[in-house]
Amino acid sequence: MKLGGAGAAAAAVGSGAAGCASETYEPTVERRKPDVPNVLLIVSDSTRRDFIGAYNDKALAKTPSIDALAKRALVFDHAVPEEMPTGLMRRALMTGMRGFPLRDWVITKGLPNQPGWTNIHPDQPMLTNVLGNAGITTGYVTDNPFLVAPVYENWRRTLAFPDPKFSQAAFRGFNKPLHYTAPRSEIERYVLPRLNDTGEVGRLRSYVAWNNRYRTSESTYSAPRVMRDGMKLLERMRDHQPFFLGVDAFDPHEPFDPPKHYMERFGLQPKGIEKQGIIPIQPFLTPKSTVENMRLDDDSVEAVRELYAGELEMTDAWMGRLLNKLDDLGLADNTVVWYLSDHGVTLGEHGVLGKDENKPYTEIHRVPYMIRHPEGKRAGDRTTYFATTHDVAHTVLSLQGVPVPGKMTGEDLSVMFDGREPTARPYFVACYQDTYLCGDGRWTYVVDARYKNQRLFDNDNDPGEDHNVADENPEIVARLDRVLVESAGGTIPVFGRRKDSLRGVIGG
Amino acid sequence: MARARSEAPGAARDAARGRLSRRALLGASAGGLAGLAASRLGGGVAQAAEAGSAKRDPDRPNALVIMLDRVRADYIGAYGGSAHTPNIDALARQSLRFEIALPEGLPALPARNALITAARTFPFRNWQVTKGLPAIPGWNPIYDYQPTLFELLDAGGVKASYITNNPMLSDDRFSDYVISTERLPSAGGDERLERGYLMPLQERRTPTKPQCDCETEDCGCPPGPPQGGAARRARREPTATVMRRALRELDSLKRNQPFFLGVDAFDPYELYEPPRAYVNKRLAPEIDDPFDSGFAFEPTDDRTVAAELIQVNASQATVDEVRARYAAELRAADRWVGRILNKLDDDGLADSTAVLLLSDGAMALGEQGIFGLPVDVSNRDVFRVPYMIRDPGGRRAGDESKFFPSTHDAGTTLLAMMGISRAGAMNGEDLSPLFADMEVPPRYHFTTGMAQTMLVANKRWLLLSDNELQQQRLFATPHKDDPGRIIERTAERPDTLSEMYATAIETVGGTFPAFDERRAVRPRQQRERHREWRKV
Repeated sequence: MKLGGAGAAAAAVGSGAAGCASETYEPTVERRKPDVPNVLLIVSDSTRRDFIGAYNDKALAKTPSIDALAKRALVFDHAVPEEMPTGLMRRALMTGMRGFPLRDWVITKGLPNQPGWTNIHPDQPMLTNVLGNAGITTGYVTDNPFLVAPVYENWRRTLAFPDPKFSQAAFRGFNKPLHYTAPRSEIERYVLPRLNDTGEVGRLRSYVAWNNRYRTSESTYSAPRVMRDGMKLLERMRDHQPFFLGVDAFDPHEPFDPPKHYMERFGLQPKGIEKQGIIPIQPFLTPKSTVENMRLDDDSVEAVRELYAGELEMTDAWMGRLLNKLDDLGLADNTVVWYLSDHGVTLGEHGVLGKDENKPYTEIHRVPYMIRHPEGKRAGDRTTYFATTHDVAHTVLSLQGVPVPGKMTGEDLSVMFDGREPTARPYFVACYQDTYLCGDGRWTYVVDARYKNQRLFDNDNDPGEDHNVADENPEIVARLDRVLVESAGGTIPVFGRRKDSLRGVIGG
Repeated sequence: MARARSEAPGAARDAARGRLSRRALLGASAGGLAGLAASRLGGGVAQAAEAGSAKRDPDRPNALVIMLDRVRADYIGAYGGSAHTPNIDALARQSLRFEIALPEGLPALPARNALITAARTFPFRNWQVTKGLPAIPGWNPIYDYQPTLFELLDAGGVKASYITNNPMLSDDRFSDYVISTERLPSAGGDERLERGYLMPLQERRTPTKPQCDCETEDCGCPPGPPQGGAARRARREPTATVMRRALRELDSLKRNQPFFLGVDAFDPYELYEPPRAYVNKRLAPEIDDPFDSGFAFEPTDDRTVAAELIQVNASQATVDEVRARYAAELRAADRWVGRILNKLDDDGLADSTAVLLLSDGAMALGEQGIFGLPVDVSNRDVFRVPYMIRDPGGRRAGDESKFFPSTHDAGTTLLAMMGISRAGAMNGEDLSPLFADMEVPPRYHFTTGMAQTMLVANKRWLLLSDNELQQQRLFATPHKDDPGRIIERTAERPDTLSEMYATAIETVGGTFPAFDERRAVRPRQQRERHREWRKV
């Protein structure tokens, strides 16, 4: 199947002797198509846009690699993942299909029982599958616990180079190759008093156990493991061009536990809760807690933010090594580099720590998103186009000259490198589980599927999205709500109550 | 892999029969591989010289879409039908022909919207009742947030022209692209227009009055014209006016290559206006007829046209007469297709123009006693429409594909052939890889919707279901020798039924909408329901 497809695609480009439809094996090295670029897709989880230097001059973290990439890339200033969080975004990324408004949610074993958490349905196309059939070598290295879990097995089968890393999955309950937990005494310094009798204790014990056994130096941290394997795969895939390689790191996801030297910049004196000997690497009960409930003072929240910044800096440093490797292998001139994240994380804003599904405000829904064209087109340019997750598949296929399945409903952003604009998208419409977002850059409208809590934020005067001005601006609420409903196809679905779960989507 | 196909026999036959083929024969061998590479990647791989025309960019063929009105595939010669359609048959011999194609949505307007937006309209979740249109789910204008082919083509440097009398395209947004040939009578129609081929039904119901003054009825004098019949049809055929305008438009378009020309005769009355004897009893209470008119949409007001199912116990002779007249009308439409194609050839555009011919929808002609909108008909012939794509390079000429294409695939396919990236919302399938002998994503079922009824079928099974699951009927495909046979398996095959229904649900993205009189609605939340119940 794969070889046949490759032959057809090769003929379509016109390379090789036209008419040689031989079924015999041809060495893959000769399958290089001169006009087809490679694609390196880098995803980092839970990355806040305002912690990145390219987006924020006063960013708390130092991200030289991402900033350098941004100088050579078309940077999207206002990218919003069309569905969040992690599991949902990955599905939109892989299928190229818009998941919003989560009408196709089916409660799935092995995934959280929350709206939208479902695996790739059998009728959905997969980017890697379509690429593979067209003769493009596909690889994906990730430690994302969902992508390495059994629910994504069918997706992993579409890859020529699947490379699951279990470093994150080991302690997240989705996949347990490790049956060893550290004794309570070893995690005492990580447990916040308020998290004493919660599920975080078990998770931290597994986490520390994994670290004790497998984490010996910085390069064996989770993100470096992924990036190192990405480098190894780049070496191997250099002989299998054109290729598509995804490098998807679960960091800087909590626990925020970077190597010490990333924290030196912030001073090593203990702050807030650290004075009590507790390092807040897991400062909330997954997925979210309030600052008040965690009894954290401002200094402690600052410490959490610094830990997060350190974790992000580690990811950035290793991303830099990956990009350098791309250069060293001589692949930079024919490889598209695409960097994005799936969502952010709230670190004390709105009194929340973590990801509150009811409050997917600016910290959550604004993510880094940049595309570097191999020929340097639009290097350093910035655009306010509302690029989003499901655009990746359409654009990658278009860049690599592969016909795009009709079900992939993202926009083709590759036209932006040809001096054109993609189909206008005056509004972004997104969802964080069953909380919907719609905005036009000036206003952001947030509402849940039950329409209980309509919120409107004025981004010009209130960039932090702290003050709900829905009551003062009913006509703007009405306009954005109309856009939201239209984008959902005409109706917003009705979800079953989460407690009496088994019915996912009721209708609508 | 594009292998050289044997165009020769078919093309030679065409050469003997019609003019279109003469030039196409010249073009067929030249296009070949070059055209294929160009259309897929738009890169500089193709050798421009090979494609024949010196002055224009071979990467960008022109496109001609002919949307025929209510044409059934099984009547067309190329599909083994009985009507005399030499021109469509000739086109089929030069085209990739799709054996089973269904309109994207029924009746009439959804499929047209699907053609222009290249996106599915089914399950009509965005329907809102629109002034001047009957309250049928799916009957709405193209909304301003929907991207259309025209704008994409325009941005891509293609001159787009769409000739139609579809009143829904009179918006300012379309004024640069759409040429309206005539105004249809307003929805409150002063005059009820009736279709010729359904007239035999009318004639049977309303006896003709002899033109003599004889006292006795069996006086032997010749009968007069049927009452309320043929005289009413003195009007211009939309097909003729639209096609005539298209011929003129081609003259200006050939100086503006690459171009896109859509020809779309819109004749909504013919499907919804059965002979007056058979309209809903409520609208025509004086007729006391034992027909079963159980299916009627609520009209927005009394004067708008209501779509109705008419089930008639017509004699075989009457049915035959209806079908013969229908075939005759097809023949007339075919003549217009021939004129357009010949014009294309005479202007030297045949080698550089992709032609896509399809029809907007189907109708029943006495199958299972039903005439008109084929609600509740399990015979799949009434849904099948012609669908053929002629590649300007002549690739896959005369071939037949088993893929199930639909109306919304037309736009995406033509955009891909012209090297224009489709908008994300255009979820039609790009069929152009078929010309490069590449795979398109499989489509194991076809789905279409008529208001609140949906149809899901594959090669073996056909499911008719309403959106609230009150009525689901599963039919097996009859043997091809006896296509009219009804084999219902609803009770016997519950597993197949639920499997087909699950497919439909996947197609519509997870849920099937519920409609009230004016729009698709959300079901109420459980808690709200509970609260309401407690109030009672």
